[in-house]
Amino acid sequence: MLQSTNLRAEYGSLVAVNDIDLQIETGEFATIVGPSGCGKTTLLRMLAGHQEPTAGRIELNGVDITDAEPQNRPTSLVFQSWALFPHMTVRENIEFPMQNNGVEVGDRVEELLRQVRLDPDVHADKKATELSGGQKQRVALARSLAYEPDILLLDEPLASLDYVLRKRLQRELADLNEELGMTFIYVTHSLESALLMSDKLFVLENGNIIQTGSPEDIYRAPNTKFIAEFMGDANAFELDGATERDGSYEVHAAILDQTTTVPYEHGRDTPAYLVVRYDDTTVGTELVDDLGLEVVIENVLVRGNTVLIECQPPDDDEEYVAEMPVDAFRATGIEKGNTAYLQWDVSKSILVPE
Amino acid sequence: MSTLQRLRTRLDRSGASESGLAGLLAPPGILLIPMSLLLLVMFVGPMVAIVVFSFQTGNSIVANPLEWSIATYEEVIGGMISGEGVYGDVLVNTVAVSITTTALTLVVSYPAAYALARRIKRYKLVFLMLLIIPLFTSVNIRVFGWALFLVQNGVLDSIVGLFGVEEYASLMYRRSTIILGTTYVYLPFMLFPVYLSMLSIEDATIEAAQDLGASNYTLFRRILLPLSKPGIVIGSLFVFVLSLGANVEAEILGGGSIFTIASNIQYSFGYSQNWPLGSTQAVGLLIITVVSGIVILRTIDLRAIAERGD
Repeated sequence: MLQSTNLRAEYGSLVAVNDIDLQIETGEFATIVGPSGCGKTTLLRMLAGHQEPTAGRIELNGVDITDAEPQNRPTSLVFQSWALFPHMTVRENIEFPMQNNGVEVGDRVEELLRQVRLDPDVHADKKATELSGGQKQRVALARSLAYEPDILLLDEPLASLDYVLRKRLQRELADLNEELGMTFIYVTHSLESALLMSDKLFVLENGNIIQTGSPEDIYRAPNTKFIAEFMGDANAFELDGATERDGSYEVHAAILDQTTTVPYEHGRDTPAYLVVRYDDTTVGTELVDDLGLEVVIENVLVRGNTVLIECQPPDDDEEYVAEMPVDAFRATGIEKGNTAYLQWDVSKSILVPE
Repeated sequence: MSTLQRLRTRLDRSGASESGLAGLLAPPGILLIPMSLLLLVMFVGPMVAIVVFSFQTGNSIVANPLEWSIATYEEVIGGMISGEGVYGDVLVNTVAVSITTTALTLVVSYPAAYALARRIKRYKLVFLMLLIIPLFTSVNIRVFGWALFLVQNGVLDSIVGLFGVEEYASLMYRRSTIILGTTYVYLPFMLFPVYLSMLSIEDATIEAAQDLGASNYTLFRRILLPLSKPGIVIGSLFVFVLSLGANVEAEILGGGSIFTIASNIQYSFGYSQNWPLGSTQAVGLLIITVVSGIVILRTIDLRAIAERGD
């Protein structure tokens, strides 16, 4: 188990990582997710030993590794830029950590290349600079796995790849994590990676962990409006009244002009927003769902098999969005400039505290 | 004329101008013309003159197209082989000065370049300026400064005199003193190429090596050294070639008792007024320079470096 206690990083007066406690079980695929500048890369670099924490401890299976040099840590970092050694071949790159750590080379290079789905006969003796982005990514991964570290740290290594390749490598990473039983800690700002691969998510904002849990739990019950919106594009309605009633909350939002009862976990902070995701929202000529408001359609954007419908209430500046299947939207006959109802099922509403 | 036609004419024209004089007078060829003219007048011309003079008979300062001779070549090359005259010593001095200077500048520059490129963040500009500012001063002035420092009854004398030392071997007029001078004067020519090649190594590359268990020695031998090799080679080329031609340092710090090819050439042209002899030595120096330049450059793959940016 990897554990950090009160881990802190300061740059001058800026607190990049604010007393973070992490607990990651052996073999887990943990993802640290948050927007740019939230401190996630600093956190990862401290775990890898490339950055000295201002305060706090890092323990691996009970052993304090806070001050261990990167050379002496059983962690391996896959860099965002992959950082392959440009003057070496693929084979030399992969042999490098094995030679440094006294691992028998033998057929390991071929084995590792096959593990990351590269043909050793084709790629092993190429120069690192001759590879494509996806291939470099795979070689960087093979190189990091070569001396069998306890923990693989990944700093958004998929960020610069194209969509299709990224999707495929995400799945492969998740498989590899399962296959090897190695702890993976992945840092990303991209929600889709976080949801697809992880066992456990840590949501970071301004150097603080604001929520920890399985992707599903966080998606279903976000702790804050920020997480709710970060976990999936969503409309947020400010509440002007919230009263607890039999485990649920009776809430009122001025713009909805309606009081409604929404389930909400007892013991959390009083809800301040009602949030509903774009794809749980529809537009229609009549108000047929539980909740809704009258809007003017501002814009219609086709996004593959769905459309994004941007709309605004007549006497409000706030913009809301519904995402619907193309056919369903066409069937309504609504066009840009029309007045319609933005609406959703009450069960799709999520209450979040401030 | 329709847009399409205009485009077609333009394409035709650019296709036609690819060869011949027209190509040279059109961009981008035309951009190289001032540079080519300058090189022709300032470099190729004098070179031809030197080669012509080297085949003239002794002590002539006007080229005579009817009289050709290889006497000076016989004298210089023969002297080098037989050991008669100064030419053997001059060659040894020159090569020794150049090789030692190159080695010394490298040993001094490499750690400094590493520190400046990778470690020192604060006052880095100040350090770099301190290294550049001496370049603004004439070599003569700097070398004369050294001479004033080292010469008998000079600054060094007064300093050691304070400690009661009266008699010690003079530090002037030795080969090692010339090397001291060339090392000092040509240091920036080694430092900056090495510094730039260090600068081009990504932080992540070094961190990745550490992460993968490389000791500091492995990091140096397998990552830093190969990746900074282009800088080392270019720096060595600069320093070696410049030291081969070092004249001022040899003349002032060698003081007429130690000669290098460059100072001997000046002596031949100036004091002894023997232009053909000077020219022959100049041709020899040129050949040594070109050959060593090629040898040094062959140790790196220039094309690979040019392509690294892609």
